[in-house]
Amino acid sequence: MRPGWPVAVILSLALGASCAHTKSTDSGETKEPDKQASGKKKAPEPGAGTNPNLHPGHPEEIPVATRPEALLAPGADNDIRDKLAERGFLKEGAGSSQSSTREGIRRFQRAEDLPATGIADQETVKRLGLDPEKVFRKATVKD
Amino acid sequence: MRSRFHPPRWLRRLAIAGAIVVALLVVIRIVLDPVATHFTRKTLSETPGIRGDLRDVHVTVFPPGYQITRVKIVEHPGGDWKHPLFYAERVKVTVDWRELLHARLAARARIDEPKIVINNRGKQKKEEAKEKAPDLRRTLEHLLPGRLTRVEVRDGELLYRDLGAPRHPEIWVHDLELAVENIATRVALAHGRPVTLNASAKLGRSGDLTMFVSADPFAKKQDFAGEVSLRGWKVAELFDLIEPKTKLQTPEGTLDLFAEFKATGGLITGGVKPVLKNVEVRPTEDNFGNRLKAWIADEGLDLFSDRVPGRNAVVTVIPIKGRLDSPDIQLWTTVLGVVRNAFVEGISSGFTHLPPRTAEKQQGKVEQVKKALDKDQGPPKAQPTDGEKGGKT
Repeated sequence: MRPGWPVAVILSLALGASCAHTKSTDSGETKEPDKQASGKKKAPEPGAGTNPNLHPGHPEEIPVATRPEALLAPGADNDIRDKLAERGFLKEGAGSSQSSTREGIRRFQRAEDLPATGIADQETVKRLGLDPEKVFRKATVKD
Repeated sequence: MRSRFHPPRWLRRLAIAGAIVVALLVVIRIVLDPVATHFTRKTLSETPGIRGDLRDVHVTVFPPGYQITRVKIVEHPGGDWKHPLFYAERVKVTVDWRELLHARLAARARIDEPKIVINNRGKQKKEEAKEKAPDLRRTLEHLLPGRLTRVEVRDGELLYRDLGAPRHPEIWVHDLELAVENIATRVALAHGRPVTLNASAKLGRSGDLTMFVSADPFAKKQDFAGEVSLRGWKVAELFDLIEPKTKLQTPEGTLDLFAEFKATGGLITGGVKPVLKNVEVRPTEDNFGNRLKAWIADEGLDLFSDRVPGRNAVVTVIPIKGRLDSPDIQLWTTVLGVVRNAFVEGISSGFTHLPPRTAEKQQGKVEQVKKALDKDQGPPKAQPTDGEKGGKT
């Protein structure tokens, strides 16, 4: 055995970790905007660059809303409710009201040692086993 | 004959090198915490306007991060260690190792049981205090290296004390749970999402407070939106708080308050809806709303200027409308100013028509309904009882 084997082992481990991260990125779990930006150039969105309130290079519309539910992608609220119900954080027959969902989220957050705000943020969504990339609306990032 | 195993020279060298590395790691591990404690204390003591103290600092390797225990910050000079401006049982910063692989230093912070005290020293000393006020944000930036992507607050407390008023009234927010997410310093790092703030807390002894704010920190002009709600706040707490200034008698009942706001392109719009339940207010000569505003509102933000002066209309939703055109306006200061003013306006408007005026003479049912539906007639008037002279307020 050659004396350089420990170095080879360390390098293999580092490469392995790097590949594992790339894999998770490809699966959409932790997509990096920089990668998107450096990838294939997309055609500008309609109206891009027309909003005088945005800096050059700014995504056309970062969604901003008065209510947290308005930042969710279509159908994502049902996914959150399903996950909460699966784990027993939604009371049976609680209905689908906003207040019952928020109460369920609050209970889940307490159980997960997260700030119990009753609002599904990215960390809460991740812990529920959902992909924040699919759950939250976002602007298209352009370079 | 005994056979002796002679490991090859390279293996012996490797073993020795390994032992040295392990010994070094042990030594580093042992001295790391005291060294980190020393430098954190140094940072705190060198920040202008404050002095700080802490129990210890613990550095972790997996995941990379550090934790400060029982950190305390006081004003300097003149600070009182028994009543610090900021205290936290634990501040834990964890570096995101995935971001490290991309040569970026990104971290998340969790602050357990923080207590922040804001002292209002009265109008004369306001400017002076402003100049002398320690910059807590800058101090935290010194303590927290790199970019913070998420901040969590658990079981926090915020105390606002008016030292300029008799009996030093206080507003106490506690059981604060807060998460700020997607804090980015560059557009590309924002992932196309807004920065969001979610919070829930208890106001005083009875009010349930929730708050949500989303903002685009990269917009040229302020671009944010949010909602705040307060439920079940016993109004007696409010009057305990400001009684020396308003001379109002302690009423009964509860207040719910809901506010929504949206700022885009420098224009802010929204509404505040106060809902008073079973409130009993006794007459007063004082203008309660004006006194409340003078005490606590952010006078720099004029958000309710579109209201018609002199019109005695009943409003269920008070509109918020104003402009945020100042070039040096800061996002979170503005958001807090909006929330503060929405509360003050909501509370004071909710009480504007209480107790209801009594009609000059007995009105018929039809007349009562007609007047109640007229938006310029004000709230329905109480009907005088037999032998009572009307027109009282």
